[in-house]
Amino acid sequence: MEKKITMTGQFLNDIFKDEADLFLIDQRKAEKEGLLEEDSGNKCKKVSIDGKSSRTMVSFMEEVYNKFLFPSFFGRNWSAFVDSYKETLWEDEDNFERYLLVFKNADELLLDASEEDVSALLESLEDIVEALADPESIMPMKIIFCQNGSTTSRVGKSILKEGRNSKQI
Amino acid sequence: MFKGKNKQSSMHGDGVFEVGNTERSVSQFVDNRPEAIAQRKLQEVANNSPQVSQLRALQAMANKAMKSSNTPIQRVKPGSKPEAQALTTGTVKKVKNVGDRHGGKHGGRELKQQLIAAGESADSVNALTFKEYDVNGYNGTGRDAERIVEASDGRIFYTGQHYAVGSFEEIT
Repeated sequence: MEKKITMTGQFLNDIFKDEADLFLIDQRKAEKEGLLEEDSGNKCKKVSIDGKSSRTMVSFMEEVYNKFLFPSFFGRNWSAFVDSYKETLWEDEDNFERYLLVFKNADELLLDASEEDVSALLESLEDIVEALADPESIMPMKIIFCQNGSTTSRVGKSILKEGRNSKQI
Repeated sequence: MFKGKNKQSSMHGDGVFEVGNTERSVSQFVDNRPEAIAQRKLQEVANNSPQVSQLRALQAMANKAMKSSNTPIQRVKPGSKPEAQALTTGTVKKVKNVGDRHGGKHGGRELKQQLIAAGESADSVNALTFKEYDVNGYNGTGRDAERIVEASDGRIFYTGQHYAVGSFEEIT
């Protein structure tokens, strides 16, 4: 158990030292590193969203609405997502020094959504990461997409195709 | 028996019954009992006291402030010219003083969709960048679904439905 924590700590340190914002990782490795479990130890908040519950844009919006306790006026569109998510992150900045968003089962993430929605998700995440990379920010954010096996998820393919600031582990 | 509230009987202080408007009749009733006279004098003194005068002044100020802050944003469809431009400009200025809250590199996605659907050139719309502001909540009150979005071409839009496509209206 202690070994696992140490490994995860080192793994996290490496991720936060890396210049990439988005990481594509084998889900088994992520599990081994304890990335799939939500926790908030060592001043690092780790939150996970399940791709299985987010196959469409509508179900994704519902998932994040419930996960992040967005306000009732949440508009369930991409601008509203960026707006509301930033708000929760600014609150987290009071308590954490690092923030890790993990998409588990990323193979199914937005699998039934349009290509525009996949791009919109990545652009929205990019805006959010950039906002937290602001010099005034004290809580950098990294995003991990966990894929099953050696296949590249649909989101993963878009990340690579669109040349986003990413790294495969 | 009379029907209707204006046809009821009441009695004057002199003991004479009058038939007519109840409100008017009540206002004419004079209570000459010593206790009532003393009470009226006390009330008069209280009404003229500095404390009550101060409260009246404060209430007047509060009413004025409420009227000012409740001034609605003038919303118009894109292309039209509202007459109450000064009010809108003032409100937008207040909101913008707090700074761009949510405009990222990719902000304005839903507004772009709406503008293109309305017939604007996709190339010119996609070249725009946006800054986004809370309409309410900028002064410490609770946030809600109202936002102002400022496009890089100078146009300013209002949405009351948290960026929903179709909800944006241009303001000036």
